[in-house]
Amino acid sequence: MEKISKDFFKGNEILFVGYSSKQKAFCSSIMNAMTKNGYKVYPMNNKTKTGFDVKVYQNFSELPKVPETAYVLVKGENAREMVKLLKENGVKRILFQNSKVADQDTLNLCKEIGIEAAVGCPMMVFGSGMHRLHAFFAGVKR
Amino acid sequence: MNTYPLIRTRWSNEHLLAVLFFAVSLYQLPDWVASPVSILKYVLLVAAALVLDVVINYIRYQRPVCAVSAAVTAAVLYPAVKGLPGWAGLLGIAAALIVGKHIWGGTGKNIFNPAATAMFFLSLAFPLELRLFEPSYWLLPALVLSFPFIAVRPFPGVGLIAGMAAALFFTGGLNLTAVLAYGILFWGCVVITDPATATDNPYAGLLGGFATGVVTMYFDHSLMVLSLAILLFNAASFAVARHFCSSRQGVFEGIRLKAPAGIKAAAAEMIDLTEKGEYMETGLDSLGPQQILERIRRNGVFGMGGAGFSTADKIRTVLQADTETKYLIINGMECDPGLVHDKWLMENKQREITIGIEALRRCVSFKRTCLIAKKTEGLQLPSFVEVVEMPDRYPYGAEKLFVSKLTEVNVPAGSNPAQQGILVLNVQTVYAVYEAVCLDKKADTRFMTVLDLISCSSRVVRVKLGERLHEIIGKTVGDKGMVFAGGGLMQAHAADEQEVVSKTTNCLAAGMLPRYKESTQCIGCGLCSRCCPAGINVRKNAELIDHGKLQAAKEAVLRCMSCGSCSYVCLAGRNLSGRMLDAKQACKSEAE
Repeated sequence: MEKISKDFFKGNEILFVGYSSKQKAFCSSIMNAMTKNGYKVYPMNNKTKTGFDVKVYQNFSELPKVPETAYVLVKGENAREMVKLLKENGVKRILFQNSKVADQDTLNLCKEIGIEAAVGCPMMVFGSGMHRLHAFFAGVKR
Repeated sequence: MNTYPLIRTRWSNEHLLAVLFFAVSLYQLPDWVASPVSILKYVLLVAAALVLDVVINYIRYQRPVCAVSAAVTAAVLYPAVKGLPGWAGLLGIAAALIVGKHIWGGTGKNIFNPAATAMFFLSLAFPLELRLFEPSYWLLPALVLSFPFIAVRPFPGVGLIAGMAAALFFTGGLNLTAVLAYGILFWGCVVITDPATATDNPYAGLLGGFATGVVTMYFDHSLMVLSLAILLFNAASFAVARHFCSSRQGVFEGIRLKAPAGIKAAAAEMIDLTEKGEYMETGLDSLGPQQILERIRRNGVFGMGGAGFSTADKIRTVLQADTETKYLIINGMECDPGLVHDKWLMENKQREITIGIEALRRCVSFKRTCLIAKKTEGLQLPSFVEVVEMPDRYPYGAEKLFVSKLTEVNVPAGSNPAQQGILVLNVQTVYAVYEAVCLDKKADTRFMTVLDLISCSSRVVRVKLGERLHEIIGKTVGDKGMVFAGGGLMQAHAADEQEVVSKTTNCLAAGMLPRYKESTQCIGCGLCSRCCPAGINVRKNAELIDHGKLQAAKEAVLRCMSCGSCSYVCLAGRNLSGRMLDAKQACKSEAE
């Protein structure tokens, strides 16, 4: 597993899996930070339909195109299924928010099926202020 | 998808409470100067309150929540417990936070003031005097800083101060030393003004505050009586809010909105993205009323202020209205802080607008023709057009608001001004009337404001209906950030990739998602209700919607004008207008 850096996000599009209407402030800050850095973000949530401030895609068929990089913020128990689904739809790289989202089994699964995986908060790469400090201590190169 | 204002107040509950904490802490300045060691006791008490509140909030919400309100509670409680043993202080904190606050559901949901609750419990066990403060010049910073907080709930605050001062006056003890020692400003500005526990009803607040002050100072100078009186006042406030109207209705004066700097200075030149056709201007003299109306209908002129209704139908409704007195009101208010295109039209297309007005006057015999705007300097319209300058406040451009101000006709709910014989048209619609009548041109284009919220600039753009919004952004401000569309900065939504210019699209913006943190810590300040032009108790109805009780909130939801004022002012960062709009759509689809 590699440490995240800007190089991890090849291309200029990111699929945001698990964009939540409950954790609105958190999700919108990540979305804003990615957008600010020039990425086109496709938020996706296959469980909730309403209550979003942006267009959130329900499934892969709704997406205008599937980016090669995905950022995953789902519950740990759903992560493995999601990884398989992402692989089927052509995703090549996955960033998991933390080790609660992706345990060692999930990371092993990524390795087996040929998906490049990383674990870390994307704000360390895209954020400013305290996030830079976080990145420094986590050894993340920006 | 939600709609929301793209701008928000810079203040939050946390800011307000942090300043309050600082102000209350300054009341300890005389003690700290005399004995710096006492700072440690104060810090320990505040720390204990913070830890307890963070733990309880974590259990309740399953995530860390700001606990600055607990720090304020500890700071208010400290003067009462500073002479008691440490364990009594901790007991007080536990009573304040558990019994006074969390048992009721947490911050903003409590009926009783947490600090007053703790003081009452402690005074049952310890004889606590009301003389909590040592009169000293060191109290001056605290007094100065705490005084503005009376504005949070002015009536109970003024009532309490007046009551305490009056009682002292009649007992012959009114002097500066007594005012400072009894902390009259402390209780009146900081404690009784807690928005969650004090009514904002002026009469109940003033009377309740006065009674609290008089009872305490006249009968017994003890903390037990004061804390009990405050708790009784809190209970009365709760009863008033429950059974009577608590919000200060009838005082709505609009809100002053601050647009990001640079937005108001629109570029002098308009960007035209439409194909220019060749049109010959026809004079109005050659057209009769029926022909004018037919041209308006045939060319599909629609309301360009945001509603998108057919203008021909509107004129017909006015003609059929069962009233002798008919009015024409041209709306050039553009009260949304992000819009500049109506202003541009009034500055650059005065001749065409005048001809448009003349055409409308030939269709209907109006008793009065008014044009309303924020600034009327430089407007040279014919004498039959009464130019009315309105305050630069939001949402003064809302139809029902200015109609009642200008004509004294109150448009009943479920009706519209046209049915009352009042034709209200946006200034751009009047321009479209000119084009439809004199140029025989279809109303298939519109002017709109395109905002760049990242570099803070605005442009007036003429676009064709049906053009892709993302394309327009690309051609005008360049691809940056996310794309938002809607009626203005105050009513926007994130635009879909394929979304096109519709009849109701007034504004297009490139920027970032606004930060609605949807905090659980609503302190019940009541700003949302106070700023609501429809006089809705927004907080109560938003809670009903959150709990799925749509039927109970239906009446208020249908009255909501979706102006976004409540979301703009909410100190808890909640998108209240988005909730109301969602509920409105649900109510409408249910009715269908």
